[in-house]
Amino acid sequence: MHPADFETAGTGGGDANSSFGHAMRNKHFFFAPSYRPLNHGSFGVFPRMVQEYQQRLQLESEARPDTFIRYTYPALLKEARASIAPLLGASTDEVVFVQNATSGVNTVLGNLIFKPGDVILHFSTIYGACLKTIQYLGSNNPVESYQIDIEYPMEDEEIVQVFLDSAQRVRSQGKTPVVAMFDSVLTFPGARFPWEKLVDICRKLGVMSLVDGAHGIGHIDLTHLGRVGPDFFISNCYKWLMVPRGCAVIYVPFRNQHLIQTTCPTSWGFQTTIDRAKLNKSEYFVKLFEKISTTDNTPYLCVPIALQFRKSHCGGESTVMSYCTKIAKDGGRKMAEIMGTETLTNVTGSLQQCCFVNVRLPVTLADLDAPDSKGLHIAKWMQEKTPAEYETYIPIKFYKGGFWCRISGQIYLTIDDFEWAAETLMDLCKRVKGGEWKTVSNMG
Amino acid sequence: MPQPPQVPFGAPMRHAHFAFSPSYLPLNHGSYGTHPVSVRAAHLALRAEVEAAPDPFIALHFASRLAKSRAAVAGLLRCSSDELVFVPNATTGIDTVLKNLDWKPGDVVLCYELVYGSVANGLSWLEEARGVEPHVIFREWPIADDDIVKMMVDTTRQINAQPGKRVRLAICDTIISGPGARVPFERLVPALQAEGAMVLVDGAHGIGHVDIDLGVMKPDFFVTNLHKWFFVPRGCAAFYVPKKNQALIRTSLPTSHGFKPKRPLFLSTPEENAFEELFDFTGTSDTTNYLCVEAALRFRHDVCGGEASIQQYCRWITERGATIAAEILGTHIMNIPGSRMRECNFANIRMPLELRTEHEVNNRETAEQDGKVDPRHANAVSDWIKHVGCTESGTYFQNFLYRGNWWWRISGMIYVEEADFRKGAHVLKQLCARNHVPCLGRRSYDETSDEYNDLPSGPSDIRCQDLTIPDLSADYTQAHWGLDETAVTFVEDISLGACRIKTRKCPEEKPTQTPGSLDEAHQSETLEVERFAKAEIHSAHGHGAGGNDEEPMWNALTEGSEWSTF
Repeated sequence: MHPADFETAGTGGGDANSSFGHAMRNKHFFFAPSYRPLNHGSFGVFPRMVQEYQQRLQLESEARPDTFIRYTYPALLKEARASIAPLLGASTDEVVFVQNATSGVNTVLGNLIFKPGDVILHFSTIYGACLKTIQYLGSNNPVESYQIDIEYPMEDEEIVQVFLDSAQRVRSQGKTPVVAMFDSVLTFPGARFPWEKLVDICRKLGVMSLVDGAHGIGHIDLTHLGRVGPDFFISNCYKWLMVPRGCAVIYVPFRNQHLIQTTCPTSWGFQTTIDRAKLNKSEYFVKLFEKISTTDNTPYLCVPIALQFRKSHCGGESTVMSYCTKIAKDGGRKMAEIMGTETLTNVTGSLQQCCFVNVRLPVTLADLDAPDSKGLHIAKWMQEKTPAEYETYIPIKFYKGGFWCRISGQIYLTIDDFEWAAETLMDLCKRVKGGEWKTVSNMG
Repeated sequence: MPQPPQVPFGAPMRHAHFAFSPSYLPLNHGSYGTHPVSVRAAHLALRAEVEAAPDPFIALHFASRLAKSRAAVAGLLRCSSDELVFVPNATTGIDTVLKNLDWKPGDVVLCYELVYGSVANGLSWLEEARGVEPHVIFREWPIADDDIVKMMVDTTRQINAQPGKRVRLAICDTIISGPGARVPFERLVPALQAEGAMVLVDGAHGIGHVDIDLGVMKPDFFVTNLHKWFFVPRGCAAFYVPKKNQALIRTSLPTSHGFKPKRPLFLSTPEENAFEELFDFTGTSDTTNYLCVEAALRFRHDVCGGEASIQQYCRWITERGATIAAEILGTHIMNIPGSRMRECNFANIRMPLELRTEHEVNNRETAEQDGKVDPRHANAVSDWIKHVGCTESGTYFQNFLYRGNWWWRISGMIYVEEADFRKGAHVLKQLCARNHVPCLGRRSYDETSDEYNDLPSGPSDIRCQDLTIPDLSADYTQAHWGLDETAVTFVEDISLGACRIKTRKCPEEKPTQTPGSLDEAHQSETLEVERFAKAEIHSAHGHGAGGNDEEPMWNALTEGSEWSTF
């Protein structure tokens, strides 16, 4: 049982020319026929071919549990690591798997040793759980955080400048920025971030760069990552690489592996500093993550088959990412046209070089005669209506005084899905304007 | 009134309700557990639901559905459901406690030498990162129950008597993993709490295995795996923290959305369900298995006749299996008067292996004929038996070297019967016999003459040999080869269980990379070896009877044992 055996196995066999859009969706994915999957970015999905392979692995893990977990799994794990490393321009032994980016971020930050005066730099667009991680860290370690406030749309140069200014400000306060955390692609708004420029700046400033690439592999090209040289990079594979949940990769270049002492939780591979010193330098890191604790890690082993699917049925990584980016852009433009609003853009268009599009909804607080403080609640009300009554899920947030939605482009979508989204949102806005949101008493 | 199972326990149950390969003999339920086909079906249905519409399932409905599973488990363990959350496994639950407690200078964590390995490492991390002192009671098992309680209480008192020190936390098991032994946890918890310590009970082997009443036990923290003995798909564990201690658990591991900072930046919702919410979502993974509790319960009740019925059979077959094994191996079962260690689904049978003493090692003439194991090879024997048992006979023998003796830990389960243990014991006996063959050393295979030749002993003498070792995983080989690194380089084959070994032809050249990495400059012949699938055919055809001359005896130097996982 090997990923290569699955190239033409299953229902997806022999149709390397399956067109994107509904044909792709019906042939390869499992969505309920009436469900409009417009939010790929949150939890990802995986195709039939990958699911069949995963199920074979899961069956094997019950057919011979000890054999599979102790002997087969490590071998297949290495294969999976070897297959994903090239997508990051990295060596096989510079990448390990964990369940998700949150775990990855916790692992890296939990390993760093801080001293009084140390500061973690991050942007206001940081993912919620990551902010919580930093907050928790600060309660237990001699480290503070410094938040760099940004509001979209922003140009890359502005982001870089405000970053430089912030680092400077922290230093002028007699403190030391030791690590900067920023995204490759923001969660909300869904926007590509100038992470490469920031990594470069960090290196020049002597600050470690931790790139939260939760939206990374399979979403934007990262084959240059090794050359760009962040100190740590974390990316979910279940989001855009069509690998089952949960699977994320932690990239730690060889030069930084000595900083990683423990997994989260601490487990079998852990060795004290003294014992570790006796080991060969490159032995520890990979071994540490090979066995953390008992979970179903078959998703990790699905990386090769997911890559295989994308290659043989979707034309390869570049083709997939180009389509997703383009459909998001075109679809967003169409939505803005229908709704009479606009998409979130910057002058250079750099923030749109990703598979997300953010479109403003045709409703304002003024329309609703509602104060600013109600914005969050109204957005949440609308967002929760989408799965409850419209058979879809559209993230809607109150941002910069307006209501914005984020749509994820994907190979199983076409323009008419975006048209449908616009019409749905218009209907939602009509109801909001009718005051329906007021009748809900609870805030939560 | 629970009915007896319609399908008898033992092989019929195995064939009717479980998905083991016919060539696999499952005598080690305790490590990773398994789940019956009906639970798998329920699991698949849940997964299909997620894929039909992921966002609503994960973001909106999961937490409330999880609450039902949690409530069911809380009912079984006899605690309140707002004191019980799910985490992926016991290691995570325990480490959550270790990393959360507000440790103060002088704090000590008390445990015995058989504390689970990953927990021991968690304590090592605590020591290094937080300056907390772990205190391990080194005393050889088996120990009578009274003595276990006495040793822990006495040690606690001794430590507490030292100025500036206190036992802040004591860790004990419901059932120790290796050797498999029940612990008098019901007595330890109140006894140690009376000395002022908090008690964390590692119930990894707990629910579905031994009776747990948290309302009576009242531990400070408790964790138990549902995927081990409760037929829930891995990994799923219940983590219990009584209300009085919940304020101590500030964060999940990893920290995620549910964390509430002491100084909130935004208005937050009321703290009512803070502990539960902390663990409702800790990062995206596939937690559909958490929702399989109901299906597992149904199977245990409807098909197995209920908890008592399961426990009765498991205890009985463990006793029978152990007796049969001891008979066949000509050894004995680990026990001691005054101990309830055997009141569980584990038994430890001494293996017919003996370690050569230092004196015997030095007396080389007799050494080679005594049939004993050279101390230099001791740590490799256990792993060799595990691996060869798997590849040749489809049986994983959970065995370990404990204080100079080898033990086989068997797991009683509803899907095994006496014949299974008889078969397993015979295989193990033969495996042990192979270790006794004199002249154990590395052998090289000459393809032209089809002969095995002994290599000179001593790592420094090994040069430029092509070695064929069928059916060993490269990882295992690499870890245990223990040869002089300048002589041999390895490349791992990445396919199922197969191994490709490369050796250097040129003794003068030194490798520029460490073993395990591809050193282009030093490649020699690659010897492709049997794939895992073929090993299965071997075992199906009764290969591994133990007398095949073409099988090279394997024994190697090793520095230390690989993970002795349980």
